[in-house]
Amino acid sequence: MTGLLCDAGVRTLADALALRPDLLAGYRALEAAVAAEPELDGRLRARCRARVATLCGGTAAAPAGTGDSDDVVLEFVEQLVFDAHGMTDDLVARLGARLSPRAIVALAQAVVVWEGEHRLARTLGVTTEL
Amino acid sequence: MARLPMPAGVPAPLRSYGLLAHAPGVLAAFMDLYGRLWRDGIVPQSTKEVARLRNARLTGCGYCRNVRFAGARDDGLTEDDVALIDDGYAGSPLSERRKAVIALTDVVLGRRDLDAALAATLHAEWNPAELVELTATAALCHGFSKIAVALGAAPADMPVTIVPSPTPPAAA
Repeated sequence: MTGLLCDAGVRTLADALALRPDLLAGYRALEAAVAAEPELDGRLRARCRARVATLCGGTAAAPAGTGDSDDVVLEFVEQLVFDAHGMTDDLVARLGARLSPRAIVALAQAVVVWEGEHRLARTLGVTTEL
Repeated sequence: MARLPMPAGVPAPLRSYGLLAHAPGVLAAFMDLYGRLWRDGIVPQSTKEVARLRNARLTGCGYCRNVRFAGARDDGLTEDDVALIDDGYAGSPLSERRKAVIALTDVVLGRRDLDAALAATLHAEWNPAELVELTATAALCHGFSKIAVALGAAPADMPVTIVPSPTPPAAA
């Protein structure tokens, strides 16, 4: 593994953020807020998180899907990670048939936070364990 | 054009965040982290603003690109400096420290690799805690920009606008 902190005895994202304890606490609080979001169920959240990990070059065990109903959600996740400018009214409208506006916004926030954690970990040369 | 309806009944501290206020718990946690990063950081705001604006230009967020944080302006980052945060930055009169921030942001955004020379430059300029803060700045700003773009919450363009630097919502 290469990265800014790989020679500093820092192994995980938690170790790295512990150098700035208020940021570590903030990231953990943000993770907790995503987990507590009432309109984003745990199974779907875990599936989306696993997809983000895969898209960012990592691996993660994903819970089983429930068929086609998750497809549009995962399509949204992929579009947001790969090309935010390519998001379309049609995709958001199709997602709106599956999720409420609150759940869509919470999902979008969760996706960019998870993606950001991967970018942070890759740059620092640590694992994403938080 | 926003791709979702605006939320109703939003708590006062979160009202200015538009669509993001649909999920108030997640937004409050995000803004608390973001506010602490800016208000309580150990890296000067002008330095973090270079990372934020570099991300804004690469990500193409019309809001993020045109907003200036007052604390960074007070800290000495001028519009002449901001104009140099573009693809020709390496040959510009920007300081080596600011050029290094731009290069780090490009690494976080996947636009270049972290090679040994850049790593040495970054370690010469900042200690590990400062590097964590700078890297987190780029990652968080990138996420904020992508949501604004994807949900249609950002204008295509707007005048340059100075706004207060972020603070945690409870302190706003």
